[in-house]
Amino acid sequence: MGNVRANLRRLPAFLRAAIFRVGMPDSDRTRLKAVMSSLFLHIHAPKVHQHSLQWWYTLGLGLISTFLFILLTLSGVVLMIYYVPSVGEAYGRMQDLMHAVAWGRVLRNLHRWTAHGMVVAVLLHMMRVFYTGSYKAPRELNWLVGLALLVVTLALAFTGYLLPWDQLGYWAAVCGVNIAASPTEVTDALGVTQSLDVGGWQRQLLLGGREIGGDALNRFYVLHCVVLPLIGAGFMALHFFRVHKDGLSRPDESAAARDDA
Amino acid sequence: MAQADDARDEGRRRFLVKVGAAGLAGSGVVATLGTVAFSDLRAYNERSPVFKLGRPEDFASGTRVYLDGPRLFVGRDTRGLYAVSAVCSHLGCIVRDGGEGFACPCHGSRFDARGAVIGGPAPRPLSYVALTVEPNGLVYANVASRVDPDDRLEV
Ligand code: HEM
Ligand code: FES
Repeated sequence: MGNVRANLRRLPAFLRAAIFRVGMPDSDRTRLKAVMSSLFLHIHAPKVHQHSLQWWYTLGLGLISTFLFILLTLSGVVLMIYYVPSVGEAYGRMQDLMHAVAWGRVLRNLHRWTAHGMVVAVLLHMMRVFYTGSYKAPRELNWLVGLALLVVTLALAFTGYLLPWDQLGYWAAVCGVNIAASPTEVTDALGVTQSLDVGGWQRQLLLGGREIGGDALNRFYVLHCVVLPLIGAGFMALHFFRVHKDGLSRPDESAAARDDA
Repeated sequence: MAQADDARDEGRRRFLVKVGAAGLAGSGVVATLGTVAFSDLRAYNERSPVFKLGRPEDFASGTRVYLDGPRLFVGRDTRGLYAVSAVCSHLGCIVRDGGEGFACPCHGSRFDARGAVIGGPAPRPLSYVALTVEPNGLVYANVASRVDPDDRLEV
């Protein structure tokens, strides 16, 4: 009996130790250990160059993109509780969300503005990587992974825009899908559209028909809520793993490499 | 002896890697083709491309009206009835009738009264679609069937 009580009393400390592994770090060695033994912290390299700590070098744009993605995922899941991807219901559901659901308007605007913000943040992040020359060896692969993330980000923005089933989204989707069908201009010029209609096939894949209707709305919904976020999360994991392995680039890196040679 | 074993092991590993890679590539191809086939419906859940427009005398000479269902401008000139598609040849918005010609609100393409491009990004003229009179005496348009801009239905 006494043992049980003693064990119960130790439980909080025991749990804390199981979660945090190392206590409050008090030396470089324990600080390093704390970082390395945590899944979330070890995304950061345990040792970084002084240059990488200068905030103006990355401007934190990659992390900002990540946090916006997390916010979008959370607010999106909550939006899914009221949203119904059907031609008859979608628009009314958005109206309900704006007028009949507590915090609905805030939620919808949160999702919308973080979506705009993520597109901007990702583009700025890409510019930062470009202007600091961080796409050079050994980070070429991560540049390519980044391009995939850019495409996923834009595709999320595009597919999400149709979901309210309003005039803006409808016509944006008409134009976007016709852009996806534009290889037809090339196959037409070559005179092979009859046998190899890449544009028409892409259009068909997105719409599930000849016009934008219920099938298209459902496909956009599946892409927006399941397929693209999963692909994005997968590429992000790869992206962070590469940042971790290659280390952040440094302003003096290429100069140092030149001096070494 | 040990060396011979190592060499045999090595050969076996290479073989297994090749079999594995071929298997992955094969199932990748099958999965892709399957997905393509899956995403194309054998029959579309859609309205027919043939629309009933009305009686021939509904369209007075020298006029042109916009019909929202088939997205057509239907008009009559001295030679007969014609129907111009209102779907912009650029990216598919609906053009407006400006009297002298047509203008697209999306990216500013402009077309003359015959539908030829006179400005903006549109790559092709507006299309003319086939009109017929059925035995019931009514005019029908098939928006999936294109005709020459000079074709007229004489009714
Ligand atoms: C969903 C979009 C993206 C997210 C969430 C993301 C996230 C990140 C994060 C957290 C970092 C660490 C450094 C920093 O904060 O700047 C990073 C670095 C990097 N990113 Fe991205 N990124 C995205 C898109 C892109 C794009 C579009 C490109 C370029 C095509 C790109 C290329 C790179 C490269 C090359 C690095 C290494 C930079 C260095 O070592 O200085 N990323 N990314
Ligand atoms: S869709 Fe008409 S100008 Fe682009």
